[in-house]
Amino acid sequence: MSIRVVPNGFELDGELLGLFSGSVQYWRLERSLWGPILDNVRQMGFRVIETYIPWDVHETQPEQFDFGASDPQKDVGAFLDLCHERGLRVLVRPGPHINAELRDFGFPRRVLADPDVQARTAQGTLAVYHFPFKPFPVPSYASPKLFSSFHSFMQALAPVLIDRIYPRGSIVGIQADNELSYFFRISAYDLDYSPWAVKQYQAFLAQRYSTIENLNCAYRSAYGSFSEIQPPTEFDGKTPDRLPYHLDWAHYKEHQLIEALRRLAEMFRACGLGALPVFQNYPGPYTNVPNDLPYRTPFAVAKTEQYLDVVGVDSYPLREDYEVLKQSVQYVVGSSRLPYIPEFGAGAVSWRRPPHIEEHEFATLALLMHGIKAINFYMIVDRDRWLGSPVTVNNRIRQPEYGLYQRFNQLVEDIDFLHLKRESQLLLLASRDYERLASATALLPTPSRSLFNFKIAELYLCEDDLGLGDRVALDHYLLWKYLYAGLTHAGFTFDLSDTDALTVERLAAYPAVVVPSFAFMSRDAQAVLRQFAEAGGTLVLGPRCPLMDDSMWEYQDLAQHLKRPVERIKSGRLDFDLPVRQVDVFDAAPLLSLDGRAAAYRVPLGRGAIVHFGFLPDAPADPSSAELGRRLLAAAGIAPCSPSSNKRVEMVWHSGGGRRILFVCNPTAERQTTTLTLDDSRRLLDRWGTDHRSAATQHNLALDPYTIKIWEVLK
Amino acid sequence: MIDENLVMLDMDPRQFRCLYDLAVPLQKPRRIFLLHDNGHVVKAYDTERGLRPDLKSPIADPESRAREIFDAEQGVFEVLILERSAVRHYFGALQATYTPAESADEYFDRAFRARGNYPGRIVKYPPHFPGLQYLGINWEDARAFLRQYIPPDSFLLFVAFDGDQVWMSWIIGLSGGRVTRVACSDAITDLDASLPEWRKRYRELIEACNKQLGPVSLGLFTDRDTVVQMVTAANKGGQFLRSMKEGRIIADPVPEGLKGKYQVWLGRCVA
Repeated sequence: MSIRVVPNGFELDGELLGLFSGSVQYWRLERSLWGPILDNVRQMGFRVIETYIPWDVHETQPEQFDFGASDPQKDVGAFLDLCHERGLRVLVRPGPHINAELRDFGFPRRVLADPDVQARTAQGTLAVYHFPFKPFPVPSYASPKLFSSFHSFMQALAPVLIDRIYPRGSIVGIQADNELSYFFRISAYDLDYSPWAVKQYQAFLAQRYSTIENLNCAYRSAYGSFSEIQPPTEFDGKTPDRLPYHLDWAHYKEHQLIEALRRLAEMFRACGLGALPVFQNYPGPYTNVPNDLPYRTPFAVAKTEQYLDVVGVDSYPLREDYEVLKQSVQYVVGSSRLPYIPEFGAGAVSWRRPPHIEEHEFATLALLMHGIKAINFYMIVDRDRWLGSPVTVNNRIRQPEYGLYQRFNQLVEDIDFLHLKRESQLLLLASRDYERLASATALLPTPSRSLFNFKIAELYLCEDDLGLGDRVALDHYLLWKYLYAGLTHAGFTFDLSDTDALTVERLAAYPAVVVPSFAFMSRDAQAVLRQFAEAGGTLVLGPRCPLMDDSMWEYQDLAQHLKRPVERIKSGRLDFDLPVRQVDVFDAAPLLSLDGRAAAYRVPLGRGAIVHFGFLPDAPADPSSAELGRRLLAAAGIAPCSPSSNKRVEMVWHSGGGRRILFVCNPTAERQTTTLTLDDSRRLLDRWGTDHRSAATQHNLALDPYTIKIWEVLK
Repeated sequence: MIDENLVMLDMDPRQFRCLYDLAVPLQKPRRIFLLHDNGHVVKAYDTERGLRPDLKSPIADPESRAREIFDAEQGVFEVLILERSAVRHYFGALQATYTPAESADEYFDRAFRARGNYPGRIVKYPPHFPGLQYLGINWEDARAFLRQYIPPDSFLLFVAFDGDQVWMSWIIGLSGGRVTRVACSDAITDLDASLPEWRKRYRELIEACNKQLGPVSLGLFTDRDTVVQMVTAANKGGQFLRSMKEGRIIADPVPEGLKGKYQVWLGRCVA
């Protein structure tokens, strides 16, 4: 008997289980209504539900647990049995952190009050989370006491769960913690400076460098042992030599999250729950909480999946946030073994504006369009401090929400969505090295956002060049945005990822990889990118050829295959009129030129090639960026696949099992018209509405603002 | 004032959106930020125009500079000039003084006011750092109103109609003088409730609330247009009084202590 993670869901003894699920929180619902509510959930077409199992709700006194013996509303076993009777599979989320807008986010208050658990800020104070109903001190996920306290809860809970694991029961997966993120306080010098975190940081350095001599070499320092090293509390690096110390602190912040999740997964296994896949839902980089931050660190999806089975990212967008939503999907598609949104807002917390049904429909279909394969709708049944779910707490059906989910689940079946594959053409990477630098040099701490009402990514980014020749933190962000816009507007279908835990195997799925590059790049990333090109791929990078590793020592892996610039020109216009700045020109046959000189060139490498551009665009990341995207990829022999004449209308192909599906999206606030040109005369069968089209090679389409059409393309 | 275990149930998303869309403008106001270290500007950002390197000249007098920028730029809602070490100190000091006994209202009111404790270092133009507010009403005023006029264990019921349909409603439950429950008409009627001839029949809602949740101490019933006029008026209190006088708002029941005192309380709020 086995549960296995596959790219389109879970396989239960070889049978595919699609993970389109909804959240139901049993302890917040009348016990007598559990069965009827689950019936209504089933009627919407869901085969899987998700529930938290909150620590604070069940541990009523220290070491005293109520799983229904005293309060029938806490009988999680009975709830799971009711699910099983109805053929509903269940994903359980026991915490320790669950949020769910619960008091203290589901932690027992005594645990948060324990100084041996509390995180510390750089100033040595408690780290207070600004929860609207009661701020609370956040725990440190490096605290041994936190884990031992939670272990007691898990030992009490495990017997309730073990007998209910598939195939004897309904449970098919377990989540470790929830939106693990230092409680959304992710900037480098905010937390965690607790004694346990500092100790863990020192152990991290020991693991990274093996010997203190190696670290001293990287830091240009003279430490006698790892235990002497204290973490930085603010950025004071003005030269490249000083950067490794700060980059390592930003790197450690990723490590603390991964290590906590690894320990939780191990704890679940030790408690007898090892048959269950373990997953996590990072809140970033694209949820509405930290999406104003211009970097993905400390969230490292691919690296975390070395210890967990699946890592997804949560998403609570409105339709105006389409780009954010799309990027979150493209990111998990390019980074995770199962593209999964473990929390996708269905309704809203009771103090935020709930989306209109049209907004929700648009956002939900956008998930499918961009390649998501698993979604948990949070919440599918209302509860305290939540509104807008399709089923109310007293089991009334709220229309049109209820109908939307019925249609959605029917669509997934009708087009056999789980067996379709989105036709992706390339991978756009962000560099984890430069994002760590952005985090380490950030100009403001994260809590500034709420108390000063900042929601602006660029405000955080350092504008100093730090001796690196470019303003790497800012320029990496701006260049990535420009490339993203360029590839999008040119009509490419692509995935996103970053250089964290990069492997040749992951890259091998793509014919081309695009990555911003500056003065330094970690050795691992350089090696993998080179190997990708050698194996036959086309690597597009720029503006600089990395000449150093992330310890800022000279290191030339990619550089040995690339040309050195003959001159740096401050600004100018490329041959196709794109304004650029900080332009390196090369002695090479020009792919793109500035006054007749090569500002980009192509070199063969092994069975593939590298395309190197030597400039930063000096133009807004708008539709005009399309030309650069088109020209860079033309050098890789890749042409845009969108058959739309209007590039503001996005089109994405999915295919599989002899079926071709075309998603057509108007992500703008204006009505758009476009002509869809196909290779041959084809009929269009509208799978979401009734806009069927008879056979033709060209179809004229008109799309209302923020709408998505889904057509099956037939002979 | 807000209980930490506040229950928010039976909230109609359509009704909630009506209030939200009315109260929160879709268009974000234009703001300009300058971050600096001892006068050396490390960031100048305009929410409308993006990075503003032209505003990065050194700062000698932040207050004057904020006013100059505000006066020179068209359509700016506010200018913020922040010395980074002051921002760090602000957060450090705020968290250092956190106590578990402090309520959320007290904490946030203190947090918002404390931004004003750094003259010349945390600078805003126009220069005003208010404390915690609920829909434009100071927390302290709202708390004083509840304590003085509303029975400590009762419900407040506000309903606005659009024709026969309930357009927006709020049911606010108090226990021991703290807000412990927030709901809308879903808690006492069918979803998408309507009440034809509501001016004659509004008492049915009071009775439903009395029966299903608890005693209503203050009920206000009106129509959509009146609410829109109030929310969009510059003088919201004055508009409320005018609507009361014109009979566009029905107040029933009214707590004994509050009768005839709207004017006094609203006058304070407006002031």
